[in-house]
Amino acid sequence: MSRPILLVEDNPDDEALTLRAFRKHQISNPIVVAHDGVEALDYLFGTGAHAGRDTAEQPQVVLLRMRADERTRLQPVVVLTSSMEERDRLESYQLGCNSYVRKPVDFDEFLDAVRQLGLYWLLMNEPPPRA
Amino acid sequence: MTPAVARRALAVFLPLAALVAGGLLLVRQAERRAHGAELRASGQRLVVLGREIIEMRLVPVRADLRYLAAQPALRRWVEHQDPADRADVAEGYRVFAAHRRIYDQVRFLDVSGRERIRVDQTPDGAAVAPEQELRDEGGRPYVAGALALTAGQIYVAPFDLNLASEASEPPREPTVSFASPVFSSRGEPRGVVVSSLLGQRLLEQVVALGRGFPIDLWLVDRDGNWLLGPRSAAAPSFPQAHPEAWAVVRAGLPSDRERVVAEDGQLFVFSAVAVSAAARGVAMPGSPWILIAQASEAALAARRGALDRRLLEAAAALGLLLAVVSWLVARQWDARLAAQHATAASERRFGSLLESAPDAIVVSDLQGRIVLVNAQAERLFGYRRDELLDQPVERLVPARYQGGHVRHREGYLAKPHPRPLGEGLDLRALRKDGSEIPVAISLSPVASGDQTLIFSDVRDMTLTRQREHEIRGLNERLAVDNARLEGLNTELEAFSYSVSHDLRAPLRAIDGFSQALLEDVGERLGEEGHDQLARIRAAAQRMGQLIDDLTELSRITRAELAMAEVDLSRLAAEVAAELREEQPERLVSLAIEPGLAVRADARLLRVALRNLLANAWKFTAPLAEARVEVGAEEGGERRAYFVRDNGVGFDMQHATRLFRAFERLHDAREFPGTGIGLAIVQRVIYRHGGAIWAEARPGAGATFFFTLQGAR
Repeated sequence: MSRPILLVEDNPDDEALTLRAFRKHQISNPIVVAHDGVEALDYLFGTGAHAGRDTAEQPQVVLLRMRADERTRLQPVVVLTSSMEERDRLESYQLGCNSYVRKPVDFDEFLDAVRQLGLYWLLMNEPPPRA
Repeated sequence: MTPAVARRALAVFLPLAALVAGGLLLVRQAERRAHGAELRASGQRLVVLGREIIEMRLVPVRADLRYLAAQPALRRWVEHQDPADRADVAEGYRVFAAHRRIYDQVRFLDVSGRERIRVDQTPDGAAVAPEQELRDEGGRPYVAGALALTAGQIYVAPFDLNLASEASEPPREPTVSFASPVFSSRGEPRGVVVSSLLGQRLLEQVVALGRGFPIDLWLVDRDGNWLLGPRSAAAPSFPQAHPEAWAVVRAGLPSDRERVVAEDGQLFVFSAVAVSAAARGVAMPGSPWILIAQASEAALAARRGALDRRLLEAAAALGLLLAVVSWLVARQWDARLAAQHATAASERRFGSLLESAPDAIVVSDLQGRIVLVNAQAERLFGYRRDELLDQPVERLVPARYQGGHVRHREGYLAKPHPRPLGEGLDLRALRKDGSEIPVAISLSPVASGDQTLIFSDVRDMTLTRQREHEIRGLNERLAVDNARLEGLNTELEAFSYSVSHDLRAPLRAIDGFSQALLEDVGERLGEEGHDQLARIRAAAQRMGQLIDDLTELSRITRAELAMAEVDLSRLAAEVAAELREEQPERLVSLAIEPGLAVRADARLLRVALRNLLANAWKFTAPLAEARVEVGAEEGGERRAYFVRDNGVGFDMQHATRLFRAFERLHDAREFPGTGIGLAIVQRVIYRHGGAIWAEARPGAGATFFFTLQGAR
């Protein structure tokens, strides 16, 4: 049974394109989509009452919570973003992401990026042992 | 010595000399008076003491006479006329005289006044005179005088200068004879015992008293005959020597109080001596004696001469001193006048300087009185010159500061030092019309002649203060503008963030779904549909590139500079290597001048070089032999770095458009690009405080020059 992938994406277009890219490259892992931070935290910790919606909307908060919780502390996290701001990049790494990948506008390039990510994180990379 | 100095010296000397001479005369008089008073006091003391001594000395004389009269041999002799007794008496008298050498003669006279026994003092001692030498002294007053007395009484004869006595040889000595009657047992008078006292010897003690004083002592009788006289013997009687004084003396008798007589500037003190003092009840009738102290004329003259001599010496010394002082004063005076002339000349000369000074100048003395102002001061304060001169400087200070100004001034005088203009003090000055103006004041102490003056340079600060006020206003507005700019910048940042983030997402959707459409329903679209979707995708991608470039431009604008030493040559080589790697098909000959060291932000400089070299690569693409050069030229104030290519170049008339964003001089199909590259390069150079420009010709390549501030 392959591990599930949690996709946190608030843009429905990007969500559709991302899922399409996964499909095109035969990534068969189950994919769970969360449309904002609250849904993501609900999925991860099963409570839903973690925080007020306003703060939980920020993807950074999800990362912060994951790294603060023993269950998800070592879970690999890849940030896929439109932002090329150094500020965002630095913050993401400081919060503990494992990889930061920019979404290209060119869909062909995007497909290629998703392919490589799948190849690397799902096949080459050995995950941390379960606690 | 110039005649002017001599004249001034004389002008100083004469009044001073007159003053000194007058003073010396006064001293002389005072000295003489004091001397006279001293003499008088001495004379009085001598007379009083002398009188007492004489009175004491007469006591033994009386006792001696009674002893001589009471000799047992004499008593026998006057009873029986036995010659043997007479010899005994004579022998007794001789022995007596031998022991009592104050007597010139000791005698016994019979009632007729004939000498019966006489003992003389001779140089060989006392000797009894032989009978043939005995004289008849019947005429002498003491014979009758004594015979008139009762037994035991003593007669004092007038003083005898012995002038009549041929027997006695000079130096003659005045004598005084004391006589006492001798009676038989039946009471008949038999004779008189006479002892003649040598005046000088009797009065030795008195004489000793006067020794050391410039005073002569006289002891005279009622008739002026003297027993004690001036040390020069053979002087005439006192009335002959000093008739006027004698008249006074006679008029003043009898008195036992000492009195003072002055005659011809001479001084006499006299007193009666009580010869007949009733000592032991023995009466001594006879004329009274008078003791006179006479200030010695010679001694007086000598003392006055000495005084005058001393005064003359003093006058001479003082005169000399005065002459020297007068000369020095005159010379000093002359020098002072010369200095004053020089100062006046210098003041005339520097007065015009003062007048032409741009600031108001107020010179005051140490008491704060204004001694000098210039025309600018008149204008600044609104006073006429004569209204300011000799007034306290506080007149120019607003009332509320006046007290403080006085204290401040005194504090300044305690330690005067130059104080530069406008030492951060907000000073105010008061004009005549009561208005106040802001001023800056510099102070400096100035030595002028023998006094210190305070030189105040007063500058009207009205315009300066206005300007400062305006500058403050401008600065405040600038601060507001800055705050607004900062707000704008924050907004721009947010905008740029959303551009890079939020605008890209829809583009990605356009591109992604176009591709999805092609894949899913491509066969139904036909060739035209394929082409249209491809255009949609190309446009979306181009817009994505534009957004990326714009974001980069914005990022460069906002980025913080990290200045460091950068090797521009090495940076250019690295960028060129990247380009070669990205476009391996291109053959470009590259020349980079080595060792171009600059101070810059390495990351931004790399962005600029990347764009410039990429352009060079791009615009040499059509050439068979592309050549790109990186180097530096010395020119103007700074070194200019350049990137040169031998590409297609451009027309210089479009050069101003080069660095604007989105501007393109070439066909996008032939030379693709967003038109933002050079805008980015310019932004990087501007951020380094440098300049950028280009030189080119169509078909002959282009050179881009840039400078960097502080780069060397």
